[in-house]
Amino acid sequence: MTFLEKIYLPAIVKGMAITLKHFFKKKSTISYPEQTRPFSEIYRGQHVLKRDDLGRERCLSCRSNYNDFS
Amino acid sequence: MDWTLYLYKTIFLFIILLVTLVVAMYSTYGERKVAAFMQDRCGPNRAGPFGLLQPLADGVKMFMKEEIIPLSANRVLFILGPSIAMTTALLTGVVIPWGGNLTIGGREFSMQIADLNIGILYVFAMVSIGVYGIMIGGWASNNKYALYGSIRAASQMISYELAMGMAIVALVVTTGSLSLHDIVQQQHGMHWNVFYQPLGFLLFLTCAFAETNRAPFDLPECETELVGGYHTEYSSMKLGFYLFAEYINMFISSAVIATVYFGGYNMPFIDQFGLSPNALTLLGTAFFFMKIFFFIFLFMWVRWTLPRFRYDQLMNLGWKGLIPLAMFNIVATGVYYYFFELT
Repeated sequence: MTFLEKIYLPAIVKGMAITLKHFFKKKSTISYPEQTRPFSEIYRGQHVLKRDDLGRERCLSCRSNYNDFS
Repeated sequence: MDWTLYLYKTIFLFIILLVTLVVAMYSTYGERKVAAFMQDRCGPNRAGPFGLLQPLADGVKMFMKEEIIPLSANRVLFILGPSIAMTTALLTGVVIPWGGNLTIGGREFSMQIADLNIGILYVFAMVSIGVYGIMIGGWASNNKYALYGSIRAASQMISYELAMGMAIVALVVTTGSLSLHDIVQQQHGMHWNVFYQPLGFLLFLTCAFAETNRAPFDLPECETELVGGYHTEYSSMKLGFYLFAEYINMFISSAVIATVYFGGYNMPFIDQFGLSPNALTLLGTAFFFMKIFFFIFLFMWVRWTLPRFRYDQLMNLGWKGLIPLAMFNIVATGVYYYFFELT
């Protein structure tokens, strides 16, 4: 390592510049009771029973309605 | 019996005590806010407008918690540890010149509680006694982790006191006096010592980080290594004393750095405003506090930027890095002042 690298001072100053930049950036916190995060209807990753365009259930595990694909 | 002087000194003492405690209290708030802003989050903002009453909430919490003293702990030493830490932290503020001279009722009073002619040496003495507070706390807890923490803290503080003292020796060579009042007087205008002793300033700053057990030198109290270090077994107010003593130490270290290297209460171009002497003094004191707040921010800024030193890296830096540099600083300063014969 060069002498300047060994005393770590330039690296420290560069690091401190980065932290200072973050000091002035916009925060990504949302204050919960007043603001909520928008999320889609199937956000929780729960299993959803899909229905085809005639309203019949397309159960993926028992596959009883799978013979006629439309 | 100079009752007026005694009365003034007593009132000034209480004011300084109050200011120290309030600044340390809001340093805890400032630390949380600065840490949060640097980490892209908001920090405490529920306990009052902008979270300004958060330190009061913390204080109430500290009072209300249950005081637990372990059965196998040494009761006297257990209580003595945080008391010593707090006492020595507060005692260091006695010799700092907080401002110029105040003229009250036709008589001049200096804004310094005790103008000792060994001012800076007294500060080092108090810091050295503060090591006892940590060692006693770790030993009295009767806990392996606390003992490790306190041993590391004690050895760290002792090692870095040497380099700190030597940085000041180089400064005293140029100043000719140990009294903090004289050191500040000689930095009138813009003759701040940081321009004459830049290496000394860097050494002193690094050692101040180590003395206050502040990151990147906070191995004695980090959670990942030692649970809580020397304050593992402490709860409620005694823990509050240890944590508060750390913030008071940070405030006093900032004040000493600002006094010794950055001109204390001197402000450039202050004579050209044409104000009354009292207003000039108060303006100088306000500028001094701005410098102190900048240094407190610097302490926090460095804490949330740098990773922590490992214990052997820390010892290497103290003994094999800073002490030779400090000795080189003394020799270079001496040679410079001998050959160029500056006063």
